[in-house]
Amino acid sequence: MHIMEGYLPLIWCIFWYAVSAPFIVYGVWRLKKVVNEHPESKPMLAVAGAFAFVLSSLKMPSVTGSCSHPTGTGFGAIIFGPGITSVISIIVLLYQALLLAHGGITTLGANVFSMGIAGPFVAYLAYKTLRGIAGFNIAVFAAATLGDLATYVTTSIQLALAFPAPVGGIMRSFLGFSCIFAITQVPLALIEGLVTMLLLRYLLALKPDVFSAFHISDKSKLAEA
Amino acid sequence: MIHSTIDTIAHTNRLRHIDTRLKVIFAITTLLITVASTSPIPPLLAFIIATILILFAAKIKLRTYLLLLLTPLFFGLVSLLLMSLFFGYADSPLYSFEILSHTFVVQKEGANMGLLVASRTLAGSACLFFLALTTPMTELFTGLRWLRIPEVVIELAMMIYRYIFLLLEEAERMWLASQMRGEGSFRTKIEVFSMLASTLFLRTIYQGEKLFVAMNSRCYDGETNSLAYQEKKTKISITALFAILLFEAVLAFVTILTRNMVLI
Repeated sequence: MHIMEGYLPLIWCIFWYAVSAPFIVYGVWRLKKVVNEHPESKPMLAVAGAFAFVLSSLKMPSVTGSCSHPTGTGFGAIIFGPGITSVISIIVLLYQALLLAHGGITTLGANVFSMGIAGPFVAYLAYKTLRGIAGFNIAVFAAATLGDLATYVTTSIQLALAFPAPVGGIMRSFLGFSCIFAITQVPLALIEGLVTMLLLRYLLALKPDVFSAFHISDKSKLAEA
Repeated sequence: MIHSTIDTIAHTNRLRHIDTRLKVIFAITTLLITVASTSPIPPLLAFIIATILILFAAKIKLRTYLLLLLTPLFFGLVSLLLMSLFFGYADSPLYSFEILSHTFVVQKEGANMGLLVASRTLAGSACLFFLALTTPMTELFTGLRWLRIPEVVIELAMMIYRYIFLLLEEAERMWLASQMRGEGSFRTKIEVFSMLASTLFLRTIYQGEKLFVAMNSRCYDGETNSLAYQEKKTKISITALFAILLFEAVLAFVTILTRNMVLI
């Protein structure tokens, strides 16, 4: 759900940079804390960021045949928490803009808000809420799916705010944009939910102590899953 | 794969040794003026100049550049189409046609808006490509330092950059291996993808562990202390800087001049 370079007018570029800034500052503060307590987690976070980039450049199987990439936001939010995921995603989005021509520099603020902030925070909340009630698998599935959907709704809102319809205003263009995206994004969100769930299950089966390397997630809860 | 192409070109193009600051100033200012413009003229102007610089000054192959341009072109055309059909007042039709007994009306406001967005996307992408194709990422890190980005973030960014290419190779190998076993049902595809991703993540973790051991053996204590990178003292070419500023001034002037202009 990248917004292309040049798509948003200047005023909205600035607006989304400003909205994202406090979350990024919070993320950097969290990152500093984690890295100070456990210096060994820095290389881990770095390879995880590179993993996110590579994951997003792999094509996921999709029903519609359109080009679809996993965002990995749900995965990141569950393992690192939403704050650190925001910082990693701003770095990864910058690389995607410069190396893959996905997204852009002026739209970086808006893209970070939808993919690095709204997605992970929703995913994290969903995971925390459902973890105790519905069990690990369903919580992960719901978190990744809802995180993806939140990203897609946020992008639709961003586009609708920048391009309100002359008749019917923001609401109408929001419906227009979200209907167009729904065709590809809803199946994609479900697939990403499924993939994230299977991914975490394989990981825990292959190397149950893998998350202890991060010192961040509530590993006791992950371990018992 | 396209990413390694961009990175290779960034190291080998003809504008490689031009001062990074000049390239950044050019790309960012042009981008900002482009997104601020309200008529398609300044973006088109910016697009032409950036394209000329990419093709003739940096000597990027036309084929590579066109391949890169496909994405923004596609997005631009799709938004032009959608906006001209769904944006605007009903009383200003430009053209109408019928598909399956449903009348589609191309509207004036929508067509103008679509043209503006399409031209901005094209121009913005051209500026981005200019920066990406002429400047290696490592030199952009210096730029991040000027912006007072916290050191921990820059360090993370540099390490991520280092590992992207290693992991891409690994992922490509694993993906090929899975493809060699043939296409399965949708269910198998999902399973294979998940397994691939989890195995890749595990290998990533081992890489991270190895990296930490390697850094530890060089007395890593949470900071990479090194002597300040001695940059060759290069002077910014005054002529080039002047040319860039002149161009930006003209572009800004055109933007103000064409402020309320509509094409159709």
